[in-house]
Amino acid sequence: MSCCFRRLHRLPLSIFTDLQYISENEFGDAATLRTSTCIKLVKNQKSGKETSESVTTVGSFLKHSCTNLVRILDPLLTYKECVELRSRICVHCAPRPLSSMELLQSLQSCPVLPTGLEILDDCLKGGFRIGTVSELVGRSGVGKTQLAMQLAVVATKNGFGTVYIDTEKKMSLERLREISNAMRQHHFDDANKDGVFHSEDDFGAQKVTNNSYKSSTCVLNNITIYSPTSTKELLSLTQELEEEILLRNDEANDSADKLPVHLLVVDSIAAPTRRDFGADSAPQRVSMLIQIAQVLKRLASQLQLAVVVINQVGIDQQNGEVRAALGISWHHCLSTRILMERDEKLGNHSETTLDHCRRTATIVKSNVARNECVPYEICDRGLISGIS
Amino acid sequence: MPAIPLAQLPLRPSTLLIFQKRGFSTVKEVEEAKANGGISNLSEELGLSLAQTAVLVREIKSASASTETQGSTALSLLQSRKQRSIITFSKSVDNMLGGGISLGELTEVCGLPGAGKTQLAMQLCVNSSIPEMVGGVCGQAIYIDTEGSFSPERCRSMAQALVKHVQKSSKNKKLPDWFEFDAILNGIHVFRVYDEATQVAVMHSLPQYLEKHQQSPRPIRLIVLDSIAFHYRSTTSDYLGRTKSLSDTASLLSDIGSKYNTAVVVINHMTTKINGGISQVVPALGESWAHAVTTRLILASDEQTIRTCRLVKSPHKAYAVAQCEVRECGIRDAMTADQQNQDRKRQRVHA
Repeated sequence: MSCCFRRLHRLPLSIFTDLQYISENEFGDAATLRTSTCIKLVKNQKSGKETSESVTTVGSFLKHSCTNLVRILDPLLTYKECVELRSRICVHCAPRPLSSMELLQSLQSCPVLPTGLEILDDCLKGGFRIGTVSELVGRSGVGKTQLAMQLAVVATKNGFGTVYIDTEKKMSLERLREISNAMRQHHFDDANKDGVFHSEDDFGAQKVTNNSYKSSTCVLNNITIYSPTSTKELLSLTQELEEEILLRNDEANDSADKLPVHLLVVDSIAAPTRRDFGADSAPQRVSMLIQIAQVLKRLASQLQLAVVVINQVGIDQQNGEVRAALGISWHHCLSTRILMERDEKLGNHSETTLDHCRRTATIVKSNVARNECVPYEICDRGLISGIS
Repeated sequence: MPAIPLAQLPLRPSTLLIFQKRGFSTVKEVEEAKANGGISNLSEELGLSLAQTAVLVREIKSASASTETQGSTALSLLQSRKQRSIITFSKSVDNMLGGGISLGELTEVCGLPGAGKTQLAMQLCVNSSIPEMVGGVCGQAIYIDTEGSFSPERCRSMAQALVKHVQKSSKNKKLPDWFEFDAILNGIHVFRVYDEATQVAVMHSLPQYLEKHQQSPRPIRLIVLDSIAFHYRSTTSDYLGRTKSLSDTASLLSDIGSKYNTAVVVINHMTTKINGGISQVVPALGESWAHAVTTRLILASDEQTIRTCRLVKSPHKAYAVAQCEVRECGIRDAMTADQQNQDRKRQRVHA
C-alpha cells in the first residue's frame, strides 16, 4: 500500500468534515473546504513569498510541517486544525496492520519455491520463500545461471510461471530445453524404477506426467524473457512488470497451459550496475540499487513472487579476498544469500561430472536457515546433490 | 499570566495581522480587553463581529494551550516512573542493558547484514507479551516492516519456545488464561510499508492506534521500526529534506515512547565511510540521526551463530560488550565451550 502519489483532491470528504471546529469558517461544507485547501496547496504561497513547489499529492503534503501548513493554508485552518487534518490523512492512508497469526496462515497456503537441488532445499527448509528477495552469488562459471534456469523448470513443475530478466544475454534456450527434458525423463525413470507407480491412482504413467514435470514446450511457454541493457532500463522494466504479471495471471485462470507467475529471476544485477556506475559515483549507485530493491520487494510482496537475483564477485581492494559485489547496502536488501564456490584443487571424480572440481553452495545469510554448506554437481538435468 | 507575544504562538498569519494592526502584541493584552468588557469590547476594538471575535479568541486559547509546558522536579519524576524493560532472553545482553530494552526510550540496533537485528527485534516482539507475574510487561507489539524481513514462521518458533520456557519456570504460579502461543502471535501487529511517504503516514497514525489499545489488558508496549534506513537511502539529492524527515520521525517516536510508556526499537543499516584513505563501517543515516537516539547497540556476527552486542551509547550504562546466540528457539545466551560439551552429552543421553 503506497500513498506517496495519491492526489489530495481525491481524498474522501470524511477527512474534511467537522474539521474547522475552532475557526468555523464561512466556507461551509466539507467539499468546499477540500477544494479550497487543494487550491491553496497547489499555489503553495507562504505569506506572499514566491511560490515553491506545488503540493498535489499526499507524499508532498507529508513533507511539510504543520507550521508551514498553517502559513500556506491561511486563513482556512488554525494550527490545531492542521495537526488534526494531517493526522486524519495519515490514518486514512496508512496500511492496515495484519497480525503475525494472519500472516502465518496466509503463508501456509503458498510458502516456498523449491530449487530442485534437494540438499539445498532441506537446508533452506523448503526452498526460496515467496515474498522475499534472495541472491545467488559466486565467481563466473560456478553455476548461477544454471541454477536459475533449473529454478524456472522446477517452478513450472509446481504450477508456476517465470519472468526472467537477462541483462547479460547469457540465457540459453537450448540448455533450458535440455534441463526440462532431462528432469522430466529422470522423474519418469525414477517413478518406473521398481515397477511401482508413485502416484495416487492406479492409472500410473498418465498421472505421474500430468501433475509433475511439464513438457519443455510448456516450460518455455511460461517463461517471459526481457533483456534490459542499463540500470535505468532495468528499473523502469521492474516498474512495468506489475501489469505484465497481472495479465499473465489473468490468462492463467482461463487456460490450462498458462501458469500464474510466482518467480522472478534477475540475471544479473551486477552487470548493468557495474557498467553504469564507477568507483566515484558510489552514492548514486547505492540509491539506484535501493530503488530497484524497493520495487522488487514490493512486487514480491504484493504479487506473491519469489525474487531471485544473481550477483557477481569482486576483489576486495584492501586484502585481496573475493567478496560479493555491490557492497553492504545491497547486502542489507536481501533476505537470503547463497554463495556458490568452485574449488579446483580438490577434485573428485564422479560419473556425472566431467570437470574435476568440488562445487559447494553455502547459505551465507538467511532469515530462517542456519549457515550450512552443501556440495553439488552440474549435470544434464541441472544441479544435483554432490558427494561431500 | 505571562506576557507571551502573539507572534510566538502558532497562529494563522491573517489572525496575527488583525491583532497587530489594532495594537495587540501579547496574550495578556487580549485577555485584559476581554476581561474588562467581555467579547463585545474586544470585537469593538478589532472592528469585527462578535462571532468572528469569538473564533479568534478560541484560536488564541488553543494555540497557547499547546505551547504551555508543565515542569516537574527530578525527584517526582523518579518516584512516578516505573522503569520497566523488555528482556531479550540473553542474560549477558540484559545485564549489559540494565534489565533489557527500557520502556519509554528510543533504542537503535545497527549491524551488518546477517548480524541478527531482525531476529532480535522478533524476539523482543514475542517477549513483550510475557505476563507481569513472571517479570514481563504484558503487552502487545507493533512491527513496522519496511523491507519485508518479518518472518511469521520464526515468530511462531520463538513463541512456542517462550510458552514452554515460561511454563517450566513458573510451576507454582498460575499463569493468565490468555497466555497461549495463539494470543502471542495475535498480539504482534505488522504494518507493511513500501515507501517513505507511507512510513511517515504510519508514524503519524500511531498515536491513534496506541490510544485504541491503551485501555485493554494488554496495551502496546513495543514499537519496532525495521528498518528506518531503507527508504531514506533511495534518494541522493535531498539531504536536507531527509535530515528534517528523520529528525521529525525521531522526535515523534520519542514522544510516543514516553507518552504511552512504550519501548521503541529502530533498526538501522551500516554503511562504508571513507575517511582519508581508510574505509570504516559505520551506522547509516549520518550524524544528525546519531544524536536523536537514546541508546545504540551494534550487533556483529562472530562465528556460526554467536553474536557480539556492543553498547556504544547509553544514558544509564557504560560501554560494554556482551555475547548472545541465535538459535532455533530464538535469542539465547551464548554457551561457553564447557556448556556446549555438557549440552552435547545431555542430548546423547536423551536421544
